[in-house]
Amino acid sequence: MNPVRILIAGLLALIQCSVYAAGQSALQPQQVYLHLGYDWVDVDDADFDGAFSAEGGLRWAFSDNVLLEAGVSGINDSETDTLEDNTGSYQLTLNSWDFLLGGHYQFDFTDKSYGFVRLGLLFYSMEIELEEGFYGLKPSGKDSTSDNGFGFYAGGGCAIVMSPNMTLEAQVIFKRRPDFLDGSSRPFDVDTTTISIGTRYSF
Amino acid sequence: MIRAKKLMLLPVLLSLCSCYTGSSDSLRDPVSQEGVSATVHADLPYQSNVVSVAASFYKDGEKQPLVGGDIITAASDNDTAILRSLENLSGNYLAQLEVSDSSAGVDFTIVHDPEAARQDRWYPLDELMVDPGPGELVGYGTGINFPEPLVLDAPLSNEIYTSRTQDIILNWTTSPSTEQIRLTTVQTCYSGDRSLQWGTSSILGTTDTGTHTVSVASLIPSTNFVNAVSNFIDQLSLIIVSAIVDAYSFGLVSTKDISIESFQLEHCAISLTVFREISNELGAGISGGYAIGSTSDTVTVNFRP
Repeated sequence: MNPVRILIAGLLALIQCSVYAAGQSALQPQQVYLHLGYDWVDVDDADFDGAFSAEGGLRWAFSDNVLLEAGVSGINDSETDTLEDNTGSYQLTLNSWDFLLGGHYQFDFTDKSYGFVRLGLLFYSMEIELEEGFYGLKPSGKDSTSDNGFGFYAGGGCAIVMSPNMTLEAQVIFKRRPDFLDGSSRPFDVDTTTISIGTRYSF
Repeated sequence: MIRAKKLMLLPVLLSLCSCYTGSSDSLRDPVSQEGVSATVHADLPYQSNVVSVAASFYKDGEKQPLVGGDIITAASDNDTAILRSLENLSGNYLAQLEVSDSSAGVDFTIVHDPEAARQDRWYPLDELMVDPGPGELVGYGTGINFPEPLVLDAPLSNEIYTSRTQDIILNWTTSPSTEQIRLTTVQTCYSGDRSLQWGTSSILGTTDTGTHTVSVASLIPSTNFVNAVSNFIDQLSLIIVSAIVDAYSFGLVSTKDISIESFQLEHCAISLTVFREISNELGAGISGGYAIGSTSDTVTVNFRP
């Protein structure tokens, strides 16, 4: 089955489930969140630089402490240095859309603050672009390819309640996108570790 | 282990330079100012099945770096290697390859193989590739055969010399196949945690006498600079010596002149390599340069003043 269809079906199921659960929860039944952060990108044998990124999504209270969540994030123009060898110079750039679906567990520190952990699956749609030059001796050029697949994410953070509806959050989240270009001669994993801050609005 | 030892030398001041001396070279024709030329050398050390190869190609007298998927391959009877340049765009290419039957020689060819040229890169080449197509040198090539093996009988390995006035007497087996004998030396001197390395290369002649005497003083002078010759890496018979290839590999090469008087040497290792060289016909379309096949033997002695 097409992975996109699986993801959409999962989201619809999650929404139905959470609407039912929300009626029984002490938490506000729905939340929307938006985070801005910085990604450290890790690929074996390569050195991509970090990049600013954003993550946004919805959460549905499932019980007093547990929320289900669906979100969107990505990798935004993470580049390698321009490297050189006998053949020429080359630089690679990664861009990705990540669709997140998972659980969110939170626990109180005080009346106005709490911690949380997150865990779930992600579906990625990623593109990598190669820019090659040949020291001016032959014409330079670009090539790109893309792939999609499933991975996972895990993270945690803390939050401060600013008002009954508004919360400030800070978090660290790790995402793994395994076997990118798995049909190629050298598939590789793309991991990111992101530190972000953001707000959560409950309604 | 060898790599680890070299890395330990990183903090050490290491300068590599060379002096080119001796009689004129009867085998190495000059590069042509028109058309395609090649300077190619393959050396088979005594009791080794690994051939060291070095090559450069020229167009209209200018050395040509190979880029964009063009590579030089060297093929023996049982191995193929891609020649790599230790410095991008230098146009000087090196490799080592195994050989089981040296009489089969080594063939050098310039080919356009975009994936092989990039095989050290980490990303999938079958998915990501900018191929600008073959350059104009693709298709040129030449072959090399080797002379009879050269075996050094003297001096003995690790022999110690204590004075610059002493002579080092080299003896080796002679052969009628010899067209030229060359002596290449690499001196590595130590002073505490510092080291200094340089090389010399000289042609001993076209007659294979089987013996040569060289003074310690001529290899390790007590005064003056040990000069960094600007065309150091043009001396293929010098860079083909593994000690120098290693130094290049680790980026330890400095071309600045160093005054030997300022270096309070404690001891030196002198590596002496005698080459038996023969010339080979250049491949089709190549109008200048040379293709040298050699056999060699190396002995290392010590100088402890």
